[in-house]
Amino acid sequence: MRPPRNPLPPLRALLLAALAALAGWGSAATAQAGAPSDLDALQLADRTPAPAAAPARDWQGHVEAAAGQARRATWAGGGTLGSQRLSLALQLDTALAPGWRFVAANRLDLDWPAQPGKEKHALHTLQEAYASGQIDAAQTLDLGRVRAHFGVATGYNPTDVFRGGSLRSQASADPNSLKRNRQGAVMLRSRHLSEAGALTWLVSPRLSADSQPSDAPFSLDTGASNARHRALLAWSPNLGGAWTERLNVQTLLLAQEGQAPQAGLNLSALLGEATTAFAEWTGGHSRSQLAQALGTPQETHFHPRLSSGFTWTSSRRLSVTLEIAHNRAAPTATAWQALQTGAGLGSPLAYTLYRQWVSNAQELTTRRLWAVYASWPDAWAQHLDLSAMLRVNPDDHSRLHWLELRQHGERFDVALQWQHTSGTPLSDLGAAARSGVWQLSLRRWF
Amino acid sequence: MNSSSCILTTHRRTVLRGLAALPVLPLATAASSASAAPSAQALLAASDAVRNPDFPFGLTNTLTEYRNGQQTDSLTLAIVAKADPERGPFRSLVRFVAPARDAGKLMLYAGRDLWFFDPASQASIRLSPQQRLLGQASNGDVVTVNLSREHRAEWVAEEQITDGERRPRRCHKLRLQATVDEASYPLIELWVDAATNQPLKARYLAASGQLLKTAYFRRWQRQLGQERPTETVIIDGLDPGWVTVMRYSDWVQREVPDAWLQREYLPQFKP
Repeated sequence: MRPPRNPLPPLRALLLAALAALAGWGSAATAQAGAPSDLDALQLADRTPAPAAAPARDWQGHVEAAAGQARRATWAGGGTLGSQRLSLALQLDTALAPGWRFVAANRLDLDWPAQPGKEKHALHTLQEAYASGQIDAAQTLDLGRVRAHFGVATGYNPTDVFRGGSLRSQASADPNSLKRNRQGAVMLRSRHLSEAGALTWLVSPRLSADSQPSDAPFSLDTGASNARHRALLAWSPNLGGAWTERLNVQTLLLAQEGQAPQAGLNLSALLGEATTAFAEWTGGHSRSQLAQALGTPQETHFHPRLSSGFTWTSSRRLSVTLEIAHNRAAPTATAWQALQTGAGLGSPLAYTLYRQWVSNAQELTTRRLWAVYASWPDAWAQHLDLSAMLRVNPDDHSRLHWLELRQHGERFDVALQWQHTSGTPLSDLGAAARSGVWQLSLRRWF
Repeated sequence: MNSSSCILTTHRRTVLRGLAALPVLPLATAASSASAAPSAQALLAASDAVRNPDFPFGLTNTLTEYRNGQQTDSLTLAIVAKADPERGPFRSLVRFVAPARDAGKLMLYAGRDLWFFDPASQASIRLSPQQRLLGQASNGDVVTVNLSREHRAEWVAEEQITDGERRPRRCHKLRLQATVDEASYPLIELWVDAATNQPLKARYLAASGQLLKTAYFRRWQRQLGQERPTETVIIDGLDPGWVTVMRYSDWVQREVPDAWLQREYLPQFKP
């Protein structure tokens, strides 16, 4: 439709303008007695100070103090256990020369008592330290300890091939916290971006003769992060057309010392205004997890791993993720029960070795795991965020519940966490040394 | 649980290629001339061109949020935007500058392809359009938005309104109906200055007609070659005491390589 050909006569326009102004400015006030009007909002905006210049610095970090209480498992002595923690995290991203920068992140945790499974109270983690070069507009090169992350699922990421040996310090069961606190692996990584897609290749050498995690407070822990030679190729094609906005695909090929090549696939899709779906899969020949953990010879078989699900977000910003994971290399429910009871290959030592192997590899303990994750920013009040997690192992019916309320300000966060596990004492999720965990933490950003 | 839960943010998009070919400059005077009268869609395109440069650019968006007259939040974002020659919409890369807890986090907007990247975990997460990470501001409020690409405009009336600076302005009132799924709002009432094509005020409505927000575009300054609004005041439709002030500064024309505007580049992005 076109605008009118003849503008309003000036007098009439003036009269209408006055009426419109009255209607416009007064509408809110007449509709809601005492409610602020548009004029009030504009006056408020008038008083908004000019933006301050953003701090020009290349580092950031936080310090966090936490105290809590837990119920100690009967096999660990029983009773209640108080705990305190002080953590310091620092990140640096600074220019070295034109086109080159240095990226580093580290974390120091002081725990009383020491974290479960650890002997030392202090644990320093060099999470990453690498030089990054922008070779040209389309190619980058990274050399050093890098946190290379792959995968699109929330909790279990079978394509995240560098998750093994990355958990040096565990401050929370929250999968996002685990990803933030992990240590990287030493590698040479290159990315090449083009209209056709993105190609990533990397090589990560074995750096330690002793491929075991170290508890030494200031160890570089290369025995955990670089326990074997690895090489990875990842290709993310640009699908073009309408698919570009709806589907993201990444294919991976991993070669590692002592194992047949593994293939991987990451898919993430937009299903509508409020829903995204994801699936990640790996497959290749390998021994079973139990044989790898116990170091027993075994014929290799093709073992697929899959993690898939979707995330739905409500109009009030509550996001719920349902994730179903499956791992054919893990023991069946029957084999898992045998391991727990000492039948067959099972023994207390075998059980312990297997649990340690699974924990270090961040693998599923048994073939299946179901999980629900929820996130609700500004849940009941502004700046009050709610996060929750429920994990269920359908093979032994054990469960893990986790809940966090976090009130955040510009510089400070206060968080209350609760964690509860259920199941038999040797079950996947019920075997935790500490249960009924409460933790209150205060974090200061700087 | 989602690492993006702790965030806020913004968004808006930009301009038409070949806009100069449209008869937009003399629109106001053309309104009185039957032969040169522009279409409502051309008016909308012209107002888009006023708000958004038609070349890659960067700016800083500082959001200040008020509840009942009290400041409750603030957020600073560095935004780079570039028109997508194939898909039409602007693609934007948003980096959180402040507060400290969010500094360094990134969001990529490419139509409905939305990604969040947290450098602390090195993980990028696909978001749905409803999974907005800001408070009152929607994605469409923050990133560069080309309304004329996403809406069909209908001329409603010529009205005199009081603009964001409390001055009377003669305007074309346009009614915009969304024509694409990724439109941030299904229905918009937009007041465009009859003399300059400057967008002065907008009312964003739900499909039901319920008022969601009112926005005033103001503090006009010469930026990147022409007069542009350097502030948007957003007033909530249900709670008029909920006000967000978005100030734009540090405008700069800059190269934005296509390589930056894809998920795989997010871990490498360093402005």
